[in-house]
Amino acid sequence: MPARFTTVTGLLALALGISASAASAQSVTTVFVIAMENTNWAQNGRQFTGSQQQIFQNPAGPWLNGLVNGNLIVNINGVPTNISAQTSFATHYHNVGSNPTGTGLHIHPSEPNYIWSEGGSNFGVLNDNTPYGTGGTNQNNPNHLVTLLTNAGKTWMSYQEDIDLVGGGVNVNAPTANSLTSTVAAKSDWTVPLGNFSGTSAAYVNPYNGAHQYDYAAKHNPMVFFSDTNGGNNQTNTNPLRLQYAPLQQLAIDLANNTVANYSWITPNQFNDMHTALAGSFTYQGVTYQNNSNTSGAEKIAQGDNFLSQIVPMIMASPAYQSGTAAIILWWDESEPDGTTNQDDFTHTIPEIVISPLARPNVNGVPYASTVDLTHSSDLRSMQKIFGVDDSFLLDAANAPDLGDLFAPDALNGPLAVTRTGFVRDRRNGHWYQQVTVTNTGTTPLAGSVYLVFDGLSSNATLVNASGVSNNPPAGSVYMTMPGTAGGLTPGASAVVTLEFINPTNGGIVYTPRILHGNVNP
Amino acid sequence: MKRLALVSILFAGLATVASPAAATSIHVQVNTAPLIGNPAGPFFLDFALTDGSGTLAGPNSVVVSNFNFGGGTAVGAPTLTPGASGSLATSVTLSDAANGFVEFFQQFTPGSLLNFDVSTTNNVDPVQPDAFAFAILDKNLLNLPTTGLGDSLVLLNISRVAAFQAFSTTGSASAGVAASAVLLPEPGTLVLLGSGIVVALRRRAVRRA
Repeated sequence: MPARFTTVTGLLALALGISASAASAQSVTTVFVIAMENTNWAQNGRQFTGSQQQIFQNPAGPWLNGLVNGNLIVNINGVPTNISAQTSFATHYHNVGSNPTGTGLHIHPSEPNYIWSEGGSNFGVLNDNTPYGTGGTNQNNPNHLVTLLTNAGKTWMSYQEDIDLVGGGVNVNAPTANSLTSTVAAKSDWTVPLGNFSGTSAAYVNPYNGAHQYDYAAKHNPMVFFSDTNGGNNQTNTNPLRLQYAPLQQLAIDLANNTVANYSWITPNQFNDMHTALAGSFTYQGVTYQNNSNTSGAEKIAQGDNFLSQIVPMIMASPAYQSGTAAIILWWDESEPDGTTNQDDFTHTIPEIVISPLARPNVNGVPYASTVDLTHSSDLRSMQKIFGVDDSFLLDAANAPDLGDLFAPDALNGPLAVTRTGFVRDRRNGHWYQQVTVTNTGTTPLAGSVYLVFDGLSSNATLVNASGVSNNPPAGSVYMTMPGTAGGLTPGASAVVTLEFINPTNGGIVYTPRILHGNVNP
Repeated sequence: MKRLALVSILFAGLATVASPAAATSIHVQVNTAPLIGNPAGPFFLDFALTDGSGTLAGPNSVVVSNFNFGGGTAVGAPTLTPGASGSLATSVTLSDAANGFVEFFQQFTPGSLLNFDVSTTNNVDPVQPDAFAFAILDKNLLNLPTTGLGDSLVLLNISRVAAFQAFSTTGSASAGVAASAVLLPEPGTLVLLGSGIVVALRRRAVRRA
């Protein structure tokens, strides 16, 4: 055979390079939670008047309403982008402990809800006290989210607006009255912000609303209530955990440098988070909202809407978000009374909005609106799943549905990647077959057994070899125990199962795979 | 120079023949000798395309062509479900644009080796992949048992990058029927290779001159 022909043949084989890649969906790897305050998504009365208004369809919230209405165009890295296309939201998100008639728990004011977002319980706290001092609410309890993350090698950061700025006083985050400036203190001076501070200072100009008022509240900083993440009652720059808390200005730097943590909690100050109306008035998109009894509710919404309209695009423009596996969660803490029925009944709902390339796709050109009953426990459960720290769910997170309805299939499966083949019909019995592979793509072992839950399985299909019906919320779906996973899955290990469906109509078979593992009752 | 022109024409021709719409093409070869005179026959070639989403999203079409029965032959008329067309005498087309499950089967007389090509579009179903499956049916129109998913001999999951597997039969009645599949070059690859060879030959000609 001529040498030239051999060379050509070799080149041809090299160029063809037979590929057998699997079709695998992506999971969320990076989360930004933006914590907002004290505003219902929908309520019974006084919806658009007074000091406590709802957000949905409120003219004072044009950005948020444009987002969920499907027509919000934002400039991302110079490209006009319809970010509604990456949005889904909840219409049945409730205060934790609520029930349809308002006769359940009443978890208020703010602080217990923030603590719940970490630990799946308020641990008996029903006030807004700081962690140390009189009535201190510090928790000596390592069973909370960010400690699980740290133990699993994941990173977290609490970005708090108005902290770590230069002001009067010995330590930052304990400024003397009305002394704060807009200048970020040297990182060597940062401290854990254990106490509250607020005031008005000419040297301080808020970069989002232009006001001179500042207001940091520890009650809105969930990690600061646990000893193992606040470093103890030490508000000096010797606290070993001080760099877990960063001023909001640092977020822009971390985004630009692509050094953001896996889990970032972002709390605006009490004006930008919709908690408190700025003194006097606030002008937003040509409308001036007065701080009076009839319009302060609208003013607070406008302040928060304005803040979100700036910070969300900044996150979306970052390499972390553009990687395709980040999620921004707009989170509100609690329901509020509107003068009608109990604020903890199901007619009062809290906003919960997801912005992510992995958000559930739009329906008919508008963001998907989930009607699943969700709470802060749903967020907690979802974070545990995303980051693979779900060997055992934290307290009420064990009882709540996750946020899966707001995301694309597989997005919350974390390091457990699910790969599905197409379906094949076997004429020997008329059954349909599919192969599913679950792989631990993380760096730490995951406890077994691994369970594959078939949420929303098409009514025309029956899974022949199901292990049982899931009790785990949302209950009622059939599940299968993945063979060979009793001892867990080490990093890189896979479990494979062949599914067999009875499908007498030969119709399409659809389901959303949900993965459970470890110490769960599937 | 004559050789240079010949190579150029050859690769231009190959690039033209290959369908520009087909994003993935594979060649399948099946050892059908164990089926010759086998009492489980007559046998049928079965091709099926299954929609992955169940909603007909990301529709795909598959063309099966260039049949060579290795001494055997196609027999009779095919059985088609909606979305299937053609015959073993020419080519078979399956489309899941309007039907979630599309199937074709037709009797054949086995020879020593069965060869054919499969070309698919590569529209991605956003939920789970569409699947093309090839099987051989026995006289009762039941799949010969194989090591493959759903007793398939070839399974091709249609995604951005095609993933395919080939299997073999099991069981005493029809053991020893083994399929193999290889990826066929895309037209762009052929043009690229052809261009490279032309350049190489031209340089060589210049050096000799």
